[in-house]
Amino acid sequence: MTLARDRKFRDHLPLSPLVLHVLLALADGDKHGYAIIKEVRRRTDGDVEIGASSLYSVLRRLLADGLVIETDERPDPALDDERRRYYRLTKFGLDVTVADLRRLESMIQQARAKRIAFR
Amino acid sequence: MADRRYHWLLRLLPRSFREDHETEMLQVWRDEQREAAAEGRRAPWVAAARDTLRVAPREHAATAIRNLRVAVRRLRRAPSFTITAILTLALGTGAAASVFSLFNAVLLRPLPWRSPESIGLIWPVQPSGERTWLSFPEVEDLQHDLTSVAGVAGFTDVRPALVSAGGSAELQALAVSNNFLALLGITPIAGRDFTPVDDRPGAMPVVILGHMFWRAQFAADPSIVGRTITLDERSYVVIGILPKDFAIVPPTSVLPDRVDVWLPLQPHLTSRDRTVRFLHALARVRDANAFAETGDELRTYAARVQQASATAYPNGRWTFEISRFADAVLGPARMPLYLLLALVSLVLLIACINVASLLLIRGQARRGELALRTALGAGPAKLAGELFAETLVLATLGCLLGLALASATPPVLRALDPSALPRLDEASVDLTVLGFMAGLVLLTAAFFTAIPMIERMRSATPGVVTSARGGTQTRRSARLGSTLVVLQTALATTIVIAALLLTETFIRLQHVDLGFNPDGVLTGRITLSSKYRSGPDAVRFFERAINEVTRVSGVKGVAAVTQLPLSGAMLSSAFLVGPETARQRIDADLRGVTPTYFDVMNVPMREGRAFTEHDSAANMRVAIVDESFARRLRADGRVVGQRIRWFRQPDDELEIVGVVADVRHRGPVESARETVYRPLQQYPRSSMFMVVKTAGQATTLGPEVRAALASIDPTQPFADVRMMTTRFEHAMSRARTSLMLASVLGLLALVLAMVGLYGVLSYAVARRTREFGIRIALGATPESVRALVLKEGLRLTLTGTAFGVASAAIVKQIVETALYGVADESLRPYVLAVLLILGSSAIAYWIPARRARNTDIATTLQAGA
Repeated sequence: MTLARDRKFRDHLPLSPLVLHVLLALADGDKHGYAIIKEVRRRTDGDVEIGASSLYSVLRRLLADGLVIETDERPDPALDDERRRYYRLTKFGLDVTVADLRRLESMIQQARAKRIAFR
Repeated sequence: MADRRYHWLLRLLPRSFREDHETEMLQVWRDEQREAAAEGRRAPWVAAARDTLRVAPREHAATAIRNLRVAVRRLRRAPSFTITAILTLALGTGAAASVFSLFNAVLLRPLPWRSPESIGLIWPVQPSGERTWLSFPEVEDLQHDLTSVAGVAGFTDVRPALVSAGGSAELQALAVSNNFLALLGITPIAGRDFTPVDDRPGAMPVVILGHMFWRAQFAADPSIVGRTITLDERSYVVIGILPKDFAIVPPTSVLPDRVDVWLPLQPHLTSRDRTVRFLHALARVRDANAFAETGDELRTYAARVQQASATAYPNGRWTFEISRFADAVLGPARMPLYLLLALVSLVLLIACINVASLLLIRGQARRGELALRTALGAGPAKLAGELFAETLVLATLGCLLGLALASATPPVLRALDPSALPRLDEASVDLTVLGFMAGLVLLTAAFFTAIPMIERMRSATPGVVTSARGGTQTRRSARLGSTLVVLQTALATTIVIAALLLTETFIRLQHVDLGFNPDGVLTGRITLSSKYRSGPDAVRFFERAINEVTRVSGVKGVAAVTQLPLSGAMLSSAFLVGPETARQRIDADLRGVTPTYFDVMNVPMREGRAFTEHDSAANMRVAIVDESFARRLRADGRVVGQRIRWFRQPDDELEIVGVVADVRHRGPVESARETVYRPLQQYPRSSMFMVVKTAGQATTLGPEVRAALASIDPTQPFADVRMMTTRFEHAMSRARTSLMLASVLGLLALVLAMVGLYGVLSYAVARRTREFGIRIALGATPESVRALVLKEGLRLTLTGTAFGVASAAIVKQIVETALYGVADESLRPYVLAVLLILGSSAIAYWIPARRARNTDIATTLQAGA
């Protein structure tokens, strides 16, 4: 990874929990807005509820920064409504996500080293 | 239904946000609702509302910041456009803010006193309807009797001589009741205010210094408090120094333009006689709405006092009234300022139209870009937001620069002529002015955004492709361009005519025929005490005064008159003419004069004779009228020998023995009013102005004249001593400043309009480049294309000029009510203005026309293909 690219990552880090949730939701495939909300709800057992306004506020920024793009490929055209837009994680978006997760991982390791309650 | 409610909720978000995501968000909401219904829950309204409320402000801020960033980047890419637009706006808003800051200081900002709106002036009104001064016993009565006021304070101006190491100098002082300063809410910055102990006959002499005088004379040394200064050969203890903002008492007919020192009233009374009237009185009414109540109390007082001392109130029913102080201070300055405000609004409008046309030109260049972005899905709100941000940046920068210009204006005006407007010293940029500017910024930005948007919507709708290619202009957008040309020309014509009218007035004012010659005339007021109450005594006193003063070496002539010219003071009266069966009433101003008055003041006799010693009380009643009155009486003005009657004494006939030139009594800018003069012997008055014509520099004669008068009776005050030329200058300066400002505005308007016309026309030609290319390709000669541009341009200009001349008629009405002498029906300003506008538009047209002629067919058509 070049330095310039590295710096570009750093502009986006650390990701807010909400952003990380959205990026994670897209990590395993393209999704439309409501699918993202449901996925996050499911993954967190309903602890994290993303409102539509918040979601699109986040998506708007992710789109502008190139972490996410819209896609017109439909995972299952037969099932889906034309009006829905699908969002896809870009390579850059994935890199940023990974970079943030590494950051978190390193935090956790440091915490473990200090023997703070982690199993 | 639920959909619609959610839709409303989404309105909290920025429009561009909604343009991008609304459909999907509605879809998400429907999904939520469906799922909630399936699970038997209610739709999560509260969560949705909370979420949206949290997101909305952040999104608005983000949108604004993004738009501004884009705007700044775009503007930096077009420096010539940006600089021109900003400078144009700076001139327009700078002029507007300058005039507004004057307006604000003079008319809007409260006087530098505690709640000035409840300060009033109390006046006795004589049976003739003329206001007069108060006597000291009356001031005392009012202080005790009025319950609806928080206090009454008497005051009068005195001119003590300051004796110092450097010699003697006449000061301007105000002798005031001890409660005067407290009544206005003024506290000395050092030392103390007057107390009742200071304000007693025979009290130890004390003085309070005005701020300016303290700074000038004692180098702002605070230790002067407690020391003594010598005034009129007596030692006065300095007890206090007044604050700076009170150094400026608004000059009025009531208060002098500056007050060097303040003295307690009672030790400086020349008389305590009820009939000797030389005081003004300020009253603080309990609140601004209680003036009517005080008026009632004054009526009761008038009735009571006339019963108690009938002899002090001769000739019929006297009344007392209260007027608002602010009206006395600011009244005369009002009209010119409104006029300036109107003119400057036009200038600002022209500047705005200029920038609008610049934006149109720019929009023309950016049509392709905008159309492309529309095609790529940018909604109108997004584009409008960006345009608004761009114009907001332009307007803000322009206004900031304008503000800098505006804050330089009051100091410049002050340096030119400090007495030009009341309270000019206080004119500065304050919060009100800033608020006004902020309003201007938003208005102009909205205006500029609207125009290109309308233009864009109109021209871009037929199809993205033609727009992107820059096709020939559509009929509708051509109309917008033409409208701007016509509007611009009309406005410019109007304002140039107005400016020329004002300039002409200004020039004429320099040589205004006052009807008399103020040079070398010393003037001062004598108000006789009750000793001279009877008419013959008063007449004898003034005759002796004239004799004594005539003997002073250097004096060429002396006379007396009830009211001086240019003073604005008038005795409005009426005269009856014609046979008893068909009496007519002519309203006129009445003045009493001594025989040599017209000679001393150099008022030309048009017909008949002046008054003589023989026009005494015993002989035939006579009158001299001015030309205006004579013309009212008979069209040819030959009225000598005719009889008129004064409406107060309709049984006595007055024979007109002479006609004199009209004299400007109200002021240099106000037209003369019909005036009837009567000889003092037949119309005795106890308050007269002495007019002394001197051979040399009369200012030095003041003490000698005073001494000569004192030799008759030292107890009669000779007050308000000033050269007639000083009074003239004072009366002139106000009008002069407003006219000068108006002329500057006119010039500014002309320059801006020319730049604007050039801009609008360039735009019009630029839009049609392709059309010209086609014309030339089809065989039109370049010259014919140039002629076409010129012809069409001139047609628009002529239309605009016609509108302009028509609306100038309205402006002229305004000007006429504000100033005199525009009534002159000369066509010169109109012709000159039309020539100026036509000439400058010809220049403005020439460059675009040449560009049209030089249209290169190949490039134009290629660019369009």
